[in-house]
Parts: sequence; structure tokens; C-alpha cells
Amino acid sequence: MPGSGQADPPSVREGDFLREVIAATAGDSRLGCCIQCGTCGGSCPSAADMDHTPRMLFAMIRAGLRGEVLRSTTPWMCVSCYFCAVRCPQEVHIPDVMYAVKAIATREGVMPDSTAPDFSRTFVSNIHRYGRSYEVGLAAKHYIRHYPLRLPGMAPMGIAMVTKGRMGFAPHRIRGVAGLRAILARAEELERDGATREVPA
Amino acid sequence: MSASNLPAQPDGARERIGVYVCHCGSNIAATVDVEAVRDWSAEHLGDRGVVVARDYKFMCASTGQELIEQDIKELGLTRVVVAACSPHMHEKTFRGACRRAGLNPYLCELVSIREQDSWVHTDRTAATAKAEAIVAGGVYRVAHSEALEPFRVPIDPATLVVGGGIAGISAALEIADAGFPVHLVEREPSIGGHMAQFDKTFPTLDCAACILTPRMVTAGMHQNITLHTWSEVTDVAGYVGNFTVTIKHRARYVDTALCTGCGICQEKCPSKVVDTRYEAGLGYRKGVYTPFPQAVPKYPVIDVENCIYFEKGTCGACKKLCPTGAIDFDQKDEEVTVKVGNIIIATGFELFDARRVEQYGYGRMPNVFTSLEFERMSNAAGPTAGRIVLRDGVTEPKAVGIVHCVGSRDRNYNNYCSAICCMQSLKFAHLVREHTDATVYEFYIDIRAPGKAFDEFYQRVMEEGSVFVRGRVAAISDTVRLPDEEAHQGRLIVSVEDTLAGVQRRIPVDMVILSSGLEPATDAQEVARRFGITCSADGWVIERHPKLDPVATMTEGVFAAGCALGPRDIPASVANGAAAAARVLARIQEGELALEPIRATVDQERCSGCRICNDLCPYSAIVYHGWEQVSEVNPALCQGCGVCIAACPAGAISGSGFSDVQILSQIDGLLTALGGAPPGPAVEEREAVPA
Amino acid sequence: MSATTAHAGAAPAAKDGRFEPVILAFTCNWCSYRAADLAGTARMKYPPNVRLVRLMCSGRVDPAFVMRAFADADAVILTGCWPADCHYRIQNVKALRRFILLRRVLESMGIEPQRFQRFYASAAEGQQLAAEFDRIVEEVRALGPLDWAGRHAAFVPSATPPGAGVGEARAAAEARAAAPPPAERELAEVTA
Ligand SMILES: Cc1cc2nc3c(=O)[nH]c(=O)nc-3n(C[C@H](O)[C@H](O)[C@H](O)COP(=O)(O)OP(=O)(O)OC[C@H]3O[C@@H](n4cnc5c(N)ncnc54)[C@H](O)[C@@H]3O)c2cc1C
Ligand code: SF4
Ligand code: SF4
Ligand code: SF4
Ligand code: SF4
Repeated sequence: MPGSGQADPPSVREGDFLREVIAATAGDSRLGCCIQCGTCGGSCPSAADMDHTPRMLFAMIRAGLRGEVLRSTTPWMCVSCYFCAVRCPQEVHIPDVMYAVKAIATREGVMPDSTAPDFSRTFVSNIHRYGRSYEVGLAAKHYIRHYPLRLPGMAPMGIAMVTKGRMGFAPHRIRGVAGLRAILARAEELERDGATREVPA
Repeated sequence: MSASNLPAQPDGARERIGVYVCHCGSNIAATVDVEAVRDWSAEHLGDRGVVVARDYKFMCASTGQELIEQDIKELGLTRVVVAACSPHMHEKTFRGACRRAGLNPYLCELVSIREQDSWVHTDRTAATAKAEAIVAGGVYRVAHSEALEPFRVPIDPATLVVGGGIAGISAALEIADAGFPVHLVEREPSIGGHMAQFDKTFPTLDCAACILTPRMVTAGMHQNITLHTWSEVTDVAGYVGNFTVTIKHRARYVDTALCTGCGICQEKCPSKVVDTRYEAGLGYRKGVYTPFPQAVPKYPVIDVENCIYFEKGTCGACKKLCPTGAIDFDQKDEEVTVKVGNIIIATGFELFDARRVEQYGYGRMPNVFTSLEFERMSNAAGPTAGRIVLRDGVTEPKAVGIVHCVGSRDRNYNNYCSAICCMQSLKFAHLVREHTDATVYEFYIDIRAPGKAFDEFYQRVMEEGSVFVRGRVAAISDTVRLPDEEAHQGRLIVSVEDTLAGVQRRIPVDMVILSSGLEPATDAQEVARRFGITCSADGWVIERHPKLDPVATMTEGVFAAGCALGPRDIPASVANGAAAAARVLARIQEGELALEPIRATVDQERCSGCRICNDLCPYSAIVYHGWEQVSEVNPALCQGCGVCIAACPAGAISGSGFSDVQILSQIDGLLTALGGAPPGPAVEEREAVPA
Repeated sequence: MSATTAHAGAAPAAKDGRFEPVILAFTCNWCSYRAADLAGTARMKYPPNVRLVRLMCSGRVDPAFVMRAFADADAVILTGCWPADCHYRIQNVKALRRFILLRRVLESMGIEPQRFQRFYASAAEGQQLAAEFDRIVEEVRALGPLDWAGRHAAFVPSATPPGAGVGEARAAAEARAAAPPPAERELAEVTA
């Protein structure tokens, strides 16, 4: 249902959206307990690239600003470093909430006006193919598609990383990639059935 | 009002019981058919001794109580059951009515058909049936109640106060001024507590020493106060009114009878050590020292761990130079025993160790300070003579960040709000502005300033130009990262989300002050165990009632005051001290105390001497007499929990007010007539056979 | 005489032929009885099947009280303060130990664990207390009456091969050791 929620006045959605995000988050998100202290926003290494700080995103979720939240770049910029989660005084499971928001946005096709979702898709397709991340391929593909002119500028860093052994030139394929694919397929199937909600965290 | 009067008491029932069912306006009557309960009681409980059953609109009204009084006198009632509200509401009321009519108050049973019935149920038939069962339980039970007299214990007029902070000093002075002896135990060399470390106190900014020192001196010279400093309580025996307390005086190595407090020893002592206690690590003291010049008592102590004589057997400068020959290296720890009637625990707090919040870098980055360090620094008598400078001791900061909620309001550390640190942080902002030209940032989640004149003080600090950034500090670092930060090389960078602007900020400052929270003393649980009181999971002493009895503990004769109960400011600590003193004084005046007679007793004939009960009692109330091989309950220590009664394999322990036969009978009553089953053998018969 | 003919102890009015269990709950004076007071003051609702006995401490519960209650009740509940909140310091932990022991005895008598349950309720937890009562009443209702007589009749010793019970008991004991039931796990935590 692309675009859903965009026209809703916040008052209608208030509370509903918070409940929706909490339900979509694996485990106990504790999102309702956020005290808006900003420890997450202050800690986040990606905050400068986000359109809203994580804290702000949570306030918007509470306010029922469904459309704005789903179109926000914030969850897509989250690098899952968990800095925020270890420092949050309320033990809010911040990165898990980020995943939940991304999942809802993907399902409804409401993407932020940014290359971030595409980056995630490329990343996930690499996982499907190799069973693990393939940095060179990911960066190359992403830059070719979105910033072809900037690619040469990135080359020296890439070469340095490869020569220092921080990045492999060729992809590594894990053993048992077929098994992993079966697991992922099953997970997708479960999600389609909505059964994930029933699986205890 | 109406009544079902039965002409005569049926044979067999020894007691004459009156049942009174209350309507509580419509609170009960709307859901429970009160008349039906009355009639049912009269009809079905006659063979249990019920001779009269009445209902009334408001039993607790004076007219309702008079009904009971009248029946006791005219019908010769020997037991009373009132079916009304919870015993926590009106048990005292109805017991009082019985007492006035000459019936022992413990022969009255109040059973609840309101909180436990009419208010929680909606089905009238079911609620009425339940009310009948509840009344039956009360009637069956009360038949086995015994007349009890409150247990009276004499009160020794002396009082023990543990902890010589402002709370303990206040309590001690109140009691001493009323003319009664006080033993004030303090484990540091001087009384005064944390307040002695401060320069100014919020919100009025009066000088801490100016208001504290006179009180310390008065306490030190008071004819009714015995100071036990450099001391600790090692043992508490006995019970309310009659405690025997053992106090260990640690050796001072200074003969207090000879010492005049001239201070020559401190001056000449060559051993200089960092004072982590009083100076919070910011200054030095000597191996022989008084923590601060106004110390009470004035006698120094020798810190054996930092004394050259005790380490190497040489030096002895103090001994050589003391004009009165008061230094005595051979002194030993001493134990004294005192008798007291009441105890006040005022052991205060300790500061949360800011090192635990690693991202704030305390202990790693020199210019990150704790609140207590700053208190010492801003104190004119402190290590920097009141100058606010960086760790190098000379540079004045150009910008200072004050970080709120360090270790508080945080599920990773302490969940609670430490209550005083917002105000203390505002005080710091004021002091920095007063002494320097620095820009001050307050990094806060919320400003909690609910006390008298507190918010006005907040306004004042804003007007003075301090910058308020609403956001909990994420991290403090000493490395610049962004290109435009180059100019701030060597300073501290505070990372924070300015939540009101919704942006991440990195604010360069020269000095950071961490407003660490308050924690219970590290040995709080141990102290609690020694005095037989309870602490919350956080470690603060639990009040008998958090609202209605805030300075008493669950243990009779033990009170608490000040930060031992939880974080609070000086006025509240002083008020607590006075309140605890008032409670103690009332008892001393009374001369004796009436305790609820709900107690356990061991029938020595039946006791097999197995000692199972001995270790079960949380109050060590059960003593074992080895010669007779029986256990005995000390009624003044027993609090009546009944665990020993339930555990005794010989069935030798009985509990007044909650005896086995009372409870079994109540169960009989509650469940009797179930499906028409006969009530079963009388409980007395079962009781005759030991379990 | 009154409008009601129901008499005390009779099971709460059975509606639509539904089985209405009688349940006895032991409460302590400081926490769980006060929670019940609070449930009342706040007009929360729970089924009238539960009848309360107030003791000073949950540690006062004598196994004899429980056994007596089972003579007539369909289920028995023990309630008390949370482990760190006991008015008498730690006596509720002792009650917990006794509960575990007693439940084994009752289990060996064939009484389903749902008929003998315990939970904590602080003086502020009226809501939780009411919810627990709700839950337990439902569980016991599903089990049906305790019915000593029926149980006794159903037990035909000759039909049981000798020693059969022993194997079952061992299996049960092993299962218990493998996955300690909640109360025991809790005790281990509380006393750790
Ligand atoms: C940095 C800071 C600044 C503050 N500023 C202010 C302010 O400006 N205004 C204000 O109103 N409040 C202020 N407070 C709060 C104030 O410190 C407390 O309210 C007050 O000190 C509490 O007094 P107390 O006697 O309860 O505890 P304490 O001052 O902690 O005294 C307890 C005493 O008991 C002794 N003791 C502990 N255990 C034992 C034992 N087992 N045996 C014997 N003795 C023992 C200790 O040695 C200590 O002397 C501040 C607190 C901090 C941390
Ligand atoms: S750190 Fe936690 S409590 Fe603070 S704003 Fe972020 S999610 Fe909320
Ligand atoms: S986990 Fe995501 S939101 Fe949290 S700090 Fe890291 S990047 Fe920011
Ligand atoms: S008083 Fe203020 S600084 Fe202290 S813990 Fe509470 S909110 Fe935080
Ligand atoms: S009733 Fe409780 S307090 Fe009294 S002696 Fe027995 S175990 Fe101790």
C-alpha cells in the first residue's frame, strides 16, 4: 500500500503507529520508555547524515507521524554499531527499532528520497549470493549506479585497503551457501505469513 | 437497622458472639445483600455461638459502635465479628469500641466484605454467598481468639545515633537538648559528614562551614552527648527499649586525655599522602591528621598505613615534638559496651564512582572532575584556596561543562534520580561564573528543582548567563576529529544531542564536572543486617511506611534519618533527624512501649529441642537453652511473622493472635457447608494430636 | 428469610451450568492482602471464587493449612511480598521453599500443579493480583472439580502392575531435574 499514512492527520495515528512499530520490532523494544534524553543522538556516528536524530525519530513515532517516519533516512543511515543501545539509560533497543521501521517502509514501498535503501538491497543480494558481505563489489556497484563520477576518487582508498588486507578483491563464498539460502527463504516465507509475530523473541 | 435476635444460646457453644454487618452506605449494600447475610448468620451460625446478628448503615459511625458496646453490656457478648471494610481501615475502631464496653479488644474480629468482596465483584448472588462465607470464617475464628494484653517493654533513656553527618548531628542535638543521653558513633576521625566538604549550599548559598561548624562544636561539647569517632558499631544485641551495643574505638595512637589539638604533630609529620576522603583526592594530608581544621573532636589520628613509624619503626617525629606527650604508638583498638533504648541510623551516602561511566573518561582525562572534587576546589579553605583551575593547578578554564545524571536515572547503573544533583549543578554554574569568566554549559535531561526557592535559583543561574543544553551527554573525549575542531586541540569535546534543536553537537570545553549520583554506603547491607533493618534492592533503608512513617524502620526501636533513607538535601536530612528524635523522645517520655501482642511462644513441654526454629527467625528472637534442651522465644524481639510456628515439627510453637486453631477454624468457616459436607471434627480435637 | 437461599461456602452461583471452583488464597498482612485492599479500593474486578485468609507473613503458612483447605477447596493459592520486600526480611523465601516441597507432596497425591499456585504481589500490585486470580480461576475451571471421592474410586490398585508407578515417578523426577519448574528456579535466583 505505497504512500499509506501520508495523508493521515497525526491525531488519528497517534499511539497506533507507536504500537505498530513496537509490534514489528523483534523482542521487547522498550520504545515506550524512551525519555528523550538524546544519548542515542549524541552517540550516533551517523547522526550527521540522518535527516532526524534517532531520538527525534522516536518522538515522531510517538506523535504518529507515520509518513514522515517511513520516509526518513534515519533508519537507512543506521550502521548498527549499537553505540546508542549500550548507552541508552532506558535500554531501548534502538537498532532493532531501526530494522522494524525499515521493514515497514520496504513492505509498503515508501522509501526515503535517498540511495540508502538501494545500498541495503545490494548488500542483501550479496548475502544471498555469497553468504557474506563483499565490500569491493558493494562499493563498486553502488558508486557505478549512483555516483559514477566519484568512483575514481574512491580508488586510492580501495587499493590501500586491499593491499593492507582489510578488504578482499574477489568475493569469498561461504560454505553451505545453499543452506543459508534455504534459511533466508524460510524466514521470508514466515514473514509473508505474518508468523514472525508469533515466534517468541 | 434491624436485628435477628436469637432467644438463647444453644447448648455446647461456650461463647456468645455478636455479628455486625455493615452497609457502608451503598458501598457494600449495592453488591452484597446485607440483610441476607445477617439472617444467614443468625440462622446458620447459631451453633457456633452467634446470639445476635445485626446490620447497620455505617458501623464505624459512633452510633454503629454504640450498638456493639450496648450489646456487649446487655447481651453479655464474649466475642464480636464485624463484617465491613478491611482490617487495615477500621480494626482499631472496633477494637476500641469493645475495649470501652469492657471486652478485650483482641476478642473482636473485623472481616472485610468491602475491599475483598463488594468492591471487586459484580454478581450479587455470588458476592452475598462469599460474604456469608467470610462471616462464617470470622465467627469460627473468633471463637478461638484469646484475650491479649499489649506487650509492655521499658525504654532505656539513652539513644544510639550511628553516623555523624548533618542528619545524625541534628538528631543527637534534639535528644541531648531534651536532657537525655546520646551516643554518637562516627567512623571518620571527625563528625560533619559530607556537608563539611562543601563551600556554599544551594539554594540560599550560605556558607556550609558557617552553619555546620557551630552545630558540630555544640554536639562535641554537649554534656549529654558522648562522641565515639574513629569508631564503629560491631554488635547489637537486645531489643527495643533495651539494646546492648558494642562499639569499637579504633586506636588513634593519640591520647585524647593529653592532646590539646595544637596541631604540631601534623605540621611536623614528614609523611604526606593524597587525601582521597575529605579532599576527594585533590589535596594532601599528613600521616597524622585531623581531616580539616574545624574537626570535632580536635584530636588527630595516626593513619598506620602511611606512618613511617609503623612502616619502618623509625621517624617518631610527632612523638618527639608533641608538647604534652600525647602520642602513644602502643594504643590498641578498644571495645566499649553501651545500653540504649533506641537507635537512629544516619549513615548517609557515598558518591557514585564516575569511573564506571567509561565514556565520560573520569580518571583517564585529567580535566574531568567529580562534583566532590569541585566542592573542594571552590572552597576557600580547600586545596586551591577557592580558585577554579584545571588539574595543572594554574590554568583558569574558559569553558566548563557540567554533566547531570551521572550514574543516576540510568538502567545501566542506578535507576533512581539522585534528587540533589540538579540543584548542586546549578550551584556549580553559579560558583564558576562567580569565580571565573568561563562560559558554563549545563547538560541536563530535565531540571528537577521542586524545593522551596529552587526554581528561583534556576532562574537566577539562567540570568547569570549559563548556557543550558537539553541533552544527556553521550561521551567526552580529548581528541579532535572534525577539521574545524583543530583550534581546540588539547581541550575536551563534549558530544551531545541538543535535543531541543534536534542536532548533534560537539562542544569544546576546558573542564568537565560530573554530577555523580548518590549511592548508599558500600557497607549498607551489612549495617542493615547488624541493626536488623531492611534495605531496598538499591541499598537504601526501607521506611516503615514511605508516607506515614518515614523515619521509622520495620524494626521496633530502630529509626533512620538523612540520606541513609535515600537521596535528599540538607534541609530534609535535618528535618529527618529532628523527626526521628521526636519519635525517640516520645518513647523515652512514655517510659515504656506497648507492642502488639502478636508473638510466638514455645511450649517447652512439647519442644523436642531440634533447633529448626532457631535459624529461621530473622530477628534471632529464639534462643536455645542447652541445659534444658529447649528453645524459647524472646517476646520483645519476636515480630510475630509466624515462620517458626509453621516450621516446628513438634507443633510446640504457638502464636498469639494467629494461632493454628484460629486459622484452621477460619478455613473451616470459609469452606464449610461446601456442598453440604459436615464441618469436620472440631479443630480442638485435631489439635490434641501433635502433627 | 432473605432473598438468597445460597449458603456460605456454596460454590459461587454456577451460570449456564459452568463449574465454579472454590479457591482459598493465603495472603500476607503487608503486601498481598494490601494488594487485595488496593484492588478493592480501585474497583478492579476478579471472580468471586477466591476467598482470602490473612496471615502476618506468607511464611506463616503451615502445610496443615494447605492440606485442610484441599479437603474442601478446588485450589489453593499462596501469595506474599516480593523477595526483597518481605516485612520480616526474608521469611517469604522460606515460604517459597515450603511451597516447592508441598507441591511435590501434592503432585504425588495426584493434585495438578494448577491447583496449587503461588505469586508475589506488592502492596501496589492490585492489578496484578486481580489478573492472577482471574488466570488461576480460569485454569482451575478448566480442570473441573477436585473431587476426592471420584479420584479415589478411579484408583484401582489391581489394575496397576506392581512397580509401574516407580518408573513414572523416576521419569517425573528426571524431567524435573532437567527443567526445574519456575518456583525452584526462582528460589535458586533469590537465594543465589
Ligand atoms: C557534591 C554535593 C553537593 C551537595 N550540595 C548540597 C547543597 O548545596 N545543599 C544541600 O542542601 N544539599 C547538598 N548536598 C546533599 C547533602 O550532602 C546531603 O543532604 C547531606 O550531606 C546528608 O547528610 P547525612 O547526614 O544524611 O549524610 P552524610 O553527610 O553522608 O553523613 C553520614 C555520616 O555517617 C558516617 N557513617 C557512614 N556509615 C557509618 C557507619 N557504618 N558507622 C559510623 N558512621 C558511619 C559517615 O562517615 C558520615 O560522616 C550535596 C551533595 C553532594 C554530593
Ligand atoms: S538514549 Fe534511549 S531514552 Fe535516550 S532518547 Fe535515545 S532511545 Fe530515548
Ligand atoms: S546503532 Fe544506529 S542509531 Fe544507534 S548509534 Fe549506531 S548508527 Fe546510530
Ligand atoms: S537530580 Fe537532576 S541531575 Fe540528579 S539524577 Fe535527578 S535529574 Fe539527574
Ligand atoms: S514468629 Fe517470626 S519473629 Fe517471632 S520468633 Fe518466630 S520466626 Fe522469630
